[in-house]
Amino acid sequence: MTTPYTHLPARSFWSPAVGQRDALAISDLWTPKWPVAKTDLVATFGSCFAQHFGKALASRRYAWTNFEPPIPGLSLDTIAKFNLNVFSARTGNIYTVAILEQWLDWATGGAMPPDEVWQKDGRFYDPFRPAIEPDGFESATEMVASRQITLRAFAEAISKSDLFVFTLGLTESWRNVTEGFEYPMCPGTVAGEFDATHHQFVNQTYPAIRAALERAVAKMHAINPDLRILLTVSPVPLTATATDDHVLVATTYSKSTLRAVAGDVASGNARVDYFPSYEIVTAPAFAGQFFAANKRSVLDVGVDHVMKTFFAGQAASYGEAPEPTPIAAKKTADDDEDDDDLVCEEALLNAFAPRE
Amino acid sequence: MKICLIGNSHLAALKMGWPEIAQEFPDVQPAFFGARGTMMSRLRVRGDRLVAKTVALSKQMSFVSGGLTEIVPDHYDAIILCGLALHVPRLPAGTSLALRRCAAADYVTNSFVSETLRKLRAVTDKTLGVAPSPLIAAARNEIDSPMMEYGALLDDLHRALDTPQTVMLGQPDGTWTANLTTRSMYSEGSLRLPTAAASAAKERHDDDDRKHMNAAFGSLWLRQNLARMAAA
Repeated sequence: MTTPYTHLPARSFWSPAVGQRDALAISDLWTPKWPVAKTDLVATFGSCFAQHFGKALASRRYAWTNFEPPIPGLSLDTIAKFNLNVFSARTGNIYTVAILEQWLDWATGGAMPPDEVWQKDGRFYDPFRPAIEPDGFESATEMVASRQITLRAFAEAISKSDLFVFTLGLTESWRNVTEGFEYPMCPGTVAGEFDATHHQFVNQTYPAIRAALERAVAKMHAINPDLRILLTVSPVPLTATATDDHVLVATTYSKSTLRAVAGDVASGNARVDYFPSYEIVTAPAFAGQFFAANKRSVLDVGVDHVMKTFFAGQAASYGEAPEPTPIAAKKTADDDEDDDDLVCEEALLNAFAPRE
Repeated sequence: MKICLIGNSHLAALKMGWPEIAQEFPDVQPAFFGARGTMMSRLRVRGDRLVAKTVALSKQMSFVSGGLTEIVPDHYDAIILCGLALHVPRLPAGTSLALRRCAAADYVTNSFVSETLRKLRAVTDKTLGVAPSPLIAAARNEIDSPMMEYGALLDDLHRALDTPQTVMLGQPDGTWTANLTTRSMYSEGSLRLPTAAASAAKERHDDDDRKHMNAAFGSLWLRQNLARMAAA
C-alpha cells in the first residue's frame, strides 16, 4: 500500500535530511525555479543582508550590476564612506516592502517624493536614505539632486536587470501619517525630529505586506515583464523593537511574517522565487553557529554557507556552479561583533539602548 | 614670454599644436619637457632646478625639449604641468559637494601632480599652471546623462591640490560635451609623444584611443591657456 509519502525524496524527511546529518552537510535546501546565468544582469536591494548577495555574485564573476556605480579612481575609503557600492543604486537599506513600493513609485513617476528634509547641526539629511552621506548634505537642493541620481539608477535597475534580488528585513516601520509615506528610520534617530502628531509606529501585518509586495511585483513586471525576482528574508534579528514585546519575540513575529509573505508570493508567481537564506542561518539545526557573539551579526562563515547553498542549488538544477574566489580573510566571532563591512542603518538604533 | 610645459603623453597634442599657432604668439617661446606614463615623476631637486634621476629620463627630456636636460624655473616666465595622471572626475550632476571633494582628493592622490608641484615649490615661488588630462573623447552613440559642471570640478581639483599660487587650466571652451567628454573630432589622428628610444617617425595612437587629443586640440588649448598664464 502506498501513501503520499511513499515516493518522496529523502529531503522531505527530517531524520535523513537533517537529524542524522552534520549541520553543514544539510543539502538540497533550495530548488530554483530558473537558472541564473553569468550574463544575467542582477540587481540587489533590501535590508543589509542583501549586500551579501551582490558581493558573492560579483566575486563569482556573475553580472551583479551597480546602476549608480562609483566613478573609476575613487579610493575604497571614499566608496565605503559614501555607500557607493552597497546596493545596485544608492537607496540605502530598503527594510520594508512598503518602502520598496515607495522607491518604485518615485522612480517610475507614479508619485513624487515628499519635500521633507531632515536637519542636524546645519546639515541636511535625506529622510529616505538618512545615512547615505557620512555628514549629510550641504543643502536641501543638493539632497534632492542626489536622490534624483538614485531614482534614475533605481528605475534603470528595474528596466534593465534580468534578476532583482530583494531581501525583506523588517515589519516594524515609521510612517508619516499626515503625508502617507514611510521612513526607513524613525525620525530623530539619525537626524530630524520626532513629532508624535505626524510620526506613527506601524508594525506591518501579513495582509498589508503581502498586498504591498504583490503590488510591487506587478509594478516591476509592468516595466520589465521578463524580470525574475528572487525574494529572501534577512536572518539578522531586530536591533530594537518599538512594540511592547521583548525584542526576541518581536523579531520572531517580524521574520515569520516576512517569511510567510515571501513564500506565498513566490509560490503564486512563476517569475518570483524564494531563497531560504533566513532558514539557512537561523534554523535550530544550525545551532546558532552562524551568528557572532552578539547573537545578531551573521558571521562570514554563515554568509558563505548561505551563498554556497545558493550556488549549489543552481548547480544541482542547471549545472555546475563556478568556484568561488577565495575570501581574503575570515573574521572570527570575536572581531565580527560589529559586522562593519555591512551598512545597516537600523543598527544605529543600538545607540539608544540603555547602558548597564 | 618663456613658457615651460612639463607633461606626460598629453603633452604631445600641445607640442604638435604649437607650430599651427606660433605666429600668433611671436613673443612666446615654449619649452616642452615630456615623457610617457609616469616617467616624469623621476625628477629630483638639485639646487635651483629639477633634474632627471635616470639617464633614460634625461635622454627623453633632451629629445622632447630639443637639447635641454634640466628644468630651471628661473629661465621661464611661466611653468605649466600637463596631465601627469591628473584627471577630472566625471561625476553626475547632483553629486554632493562632500563626495566631489573626496573624489578630487582621490584623483590628486592618484596623480603625480602634487609631488611635482612640491619639487617645483622647493625651487621657485612663481605661479604654476596645472592642467589635468583632457576629458576622454566622446564614444559613438554616447547616451546623454547630466553631469557636473566642468568648471566646478576643476575648482575641486584646485582645492585638493592645496598648493599656493597655482592656476588651474582647463581644456578649451567648446571642446567638451555636456556628458563631460571631449568632442570626438579632437581625438581623431592623435599622435603619441615621441620617445628618445623610438624611431623619429610620427606614431599615431590606436584608432580606438579616446584619451589623447590631436594637434587641433593642442592649438586651441595653447591659445586659451597661454593667455590665462600671461594674465596670472
